[in-house]
Amino acid sequence: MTILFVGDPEDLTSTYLRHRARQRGLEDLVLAEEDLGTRWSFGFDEDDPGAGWLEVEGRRIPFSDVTGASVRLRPDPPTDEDLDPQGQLFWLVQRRAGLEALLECGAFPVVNPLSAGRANASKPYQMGRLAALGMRVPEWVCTNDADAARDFLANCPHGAVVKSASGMRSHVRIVDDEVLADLDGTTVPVLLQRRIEGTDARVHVIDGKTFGCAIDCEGVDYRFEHETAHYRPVEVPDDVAALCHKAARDEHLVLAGIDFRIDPAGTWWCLESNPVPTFLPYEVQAGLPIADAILDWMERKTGCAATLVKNEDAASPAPSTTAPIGPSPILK
Amino acid sequence: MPGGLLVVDPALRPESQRLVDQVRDQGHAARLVTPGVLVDEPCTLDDQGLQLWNLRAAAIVWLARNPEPLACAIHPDDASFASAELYALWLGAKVPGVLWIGPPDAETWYRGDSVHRTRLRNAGIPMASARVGSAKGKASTGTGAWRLHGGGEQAGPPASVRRALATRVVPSGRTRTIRLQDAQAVRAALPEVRIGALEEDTHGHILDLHTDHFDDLDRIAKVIHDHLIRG
Repeated sequence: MTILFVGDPEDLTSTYLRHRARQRGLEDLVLAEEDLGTRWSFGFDEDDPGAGWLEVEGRRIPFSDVTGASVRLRPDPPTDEDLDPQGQLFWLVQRRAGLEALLECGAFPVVNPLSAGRANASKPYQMGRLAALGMRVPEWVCTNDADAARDFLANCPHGAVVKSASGMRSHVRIVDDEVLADLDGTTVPVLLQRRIEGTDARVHVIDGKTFGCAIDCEGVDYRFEHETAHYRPVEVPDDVAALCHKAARDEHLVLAGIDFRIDPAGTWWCLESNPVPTFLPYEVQAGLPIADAILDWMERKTGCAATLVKNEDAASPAPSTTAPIGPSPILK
Repeated sequence: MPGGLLVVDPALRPESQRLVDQVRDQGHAARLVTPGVLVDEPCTLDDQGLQLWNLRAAAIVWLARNPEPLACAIHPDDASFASAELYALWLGAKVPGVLWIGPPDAETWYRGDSVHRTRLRNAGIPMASARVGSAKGKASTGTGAWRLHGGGEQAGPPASVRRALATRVVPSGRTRTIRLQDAQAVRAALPEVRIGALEEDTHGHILDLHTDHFDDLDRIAKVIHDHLIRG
């Protein structure tokens, strides 16, 4: 049986998950987005997607041999540099849409389908949905107007942070005079959010399981503080865990990584929900078995767990993220 | 501050301007803008909605497609990021209390009309058979329309495109356009979608669905008017 790793062949989280899959005796097959239509292709009939197939460098793989797919796309996948800018955009859009057609066909389980978690691409929209579900979301404003930003800051006793409004990754920073000076009414609006004093936390949910991780860090954005960030398991309050699962279901996510700040009073403030969470640091440093939960889910969904043959590495501890992975049919 | 209408249309089409004029004639503030206006003018969005300059957007008609180049003063190096940010803001303006005419949710917003086919199928609506992906082994001159996954249609794309990037929808027999009043099940399956036209084959299987926000300009103007006078 085969697990597909679709999208970015160099993604570290995918690489780790592939290693864990191989430890279970599953074949891992990397389908690079940029190779769709050249080195690999697929076909299926909408009326019977289970009879579909992949063709990878001349090798035919029926969908029925696929245990599941893990998807991690890069924001700016390579394209054909010979095309003009408009042609490149067209190519990217069509190719991405082709991937969506494959991953939405329903013939095998996917973590996560590209149709799921789309609200993450608009944090203002997503925060509205999370608040409507019952999450506590810190006050926010998007503006390019310095006066509006100052009015907002006046009601933020611990200041505010600035981050991207879209799904583009950005380095979260404290709002200071430099940020305000850039706002003159003719710039791209920025997202400001009331800063919550306390501790960062990430909750991963998958298949009814909840994995809480607190991150102790002196910096503003722990994701960029590799030297000082310390990850540790943390118990997630039942009501918060229930909301996390509800948020994942609401967005049709199998796996979600939901970010919080826990204030000194113990209140969990929700910042956002990630549909493609990089779970690696939480698993490796806090010892949370998220990869196993993902693979368990895939195997349970396809009902093939009983037929799997565990290999010699099955009981070995998790490797470091830089461990050599060994040969694999990477198509790039 | 009383709310008004924003019609967001990158092409600034005449019918968009006519809608704005009609709403203005009803005594409301209304503007026709491009998505990039959020860079060109002071704006603020919060959980209550969007304010653009001195207009609070109580109703928004969204006629852009995502992604689309922005016509605003952004350096080309920043265009991709700026585009993502602005589209995120516009979707964030879809808050309770704001009349929103456009893609009903984030999935439709980011994936386009192709989601309707999946949703209709999931709702149990009979759909014309579609072959997705590689055409290998299939007659390249067969009946049916080729559609690019990302939208658009061709009589028959080159083999290199057919290999992975298109779907062939195969009707049974002749095709015809359905009157919307005869398509209650489809409308019930997509309650928030403004359906412009439906095509089906002789077996009643849906081939395609087209959205149209200007199917009845007077009716849309009245819906907006009714919403705005309620405050």
